[in-house]
Amino acid sequence: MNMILEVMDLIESEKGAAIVLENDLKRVIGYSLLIVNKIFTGIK
Amino acid sequence: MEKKIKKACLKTGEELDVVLLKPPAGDYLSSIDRNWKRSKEVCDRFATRILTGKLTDYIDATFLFGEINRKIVGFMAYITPINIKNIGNLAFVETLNGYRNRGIASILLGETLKIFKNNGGTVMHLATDNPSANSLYKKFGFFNLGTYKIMRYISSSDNDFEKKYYFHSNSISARDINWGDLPHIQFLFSTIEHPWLVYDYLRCIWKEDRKTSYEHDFRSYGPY
Repeated sequence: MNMILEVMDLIESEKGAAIVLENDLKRVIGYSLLIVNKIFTGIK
Repeated sequence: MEKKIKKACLKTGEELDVVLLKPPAGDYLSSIDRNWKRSKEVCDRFATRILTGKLTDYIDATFLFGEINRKIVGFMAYITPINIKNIGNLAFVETLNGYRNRGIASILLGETLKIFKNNGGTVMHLATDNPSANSLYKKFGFFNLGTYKIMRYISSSDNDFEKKYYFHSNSISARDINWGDLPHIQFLFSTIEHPWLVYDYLRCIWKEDRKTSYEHDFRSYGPY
């Protein structure tokens, strides 16, 4: 989980941004991260 | 608020009080600080934010502490998103130096899983680099996922849980990430068949195939 925390810290420090994709059952099925000018995306 | 929920006898014959704490920790936080000021995990900003109740809008956290004669000798916690109780993360597992190999973590983990299941929990994940902790987790039913240092526990024999959890639905929306998404995202990462791109992100940052990293590792290696 620590790696995710580091991502969240980057977001909180405004060095990154992220959105998640959520279905109507409130399941997070994907995300998109923007960290230091790189975009990373994943979807279930 | 903390509450004693169990007394247990250790291998050494000492009596362990198991204390359940739901943030905010209140006065109990000072006893945590006093006993654990050298612990990197409790000093972790995330743990502090949870314990002080700053993330209660997003995360439901349950901490279990082991006390011998009112001294905290071990603890662990699990978190779930505020709106979903069937997935969780185990975190902040630690036993005080000098109190290891007495069965403290085993008692705390047994109680943690019992509470998790009683509250509707089904799947719990954790990440560990510690081989001796690994065997403890296996004893309680956690199993490794692929080559990653992530372990999963499933409270029932429901092998289709993942499929049901991600059951197709018609409506999908995008929103800003929040702290309550941690268990969701760990679940996504733990899906064996998908090379989730956050791993690639970590390879970019650390130039190696790191799956977990502790804070001291982060400081040692650092982003390039």
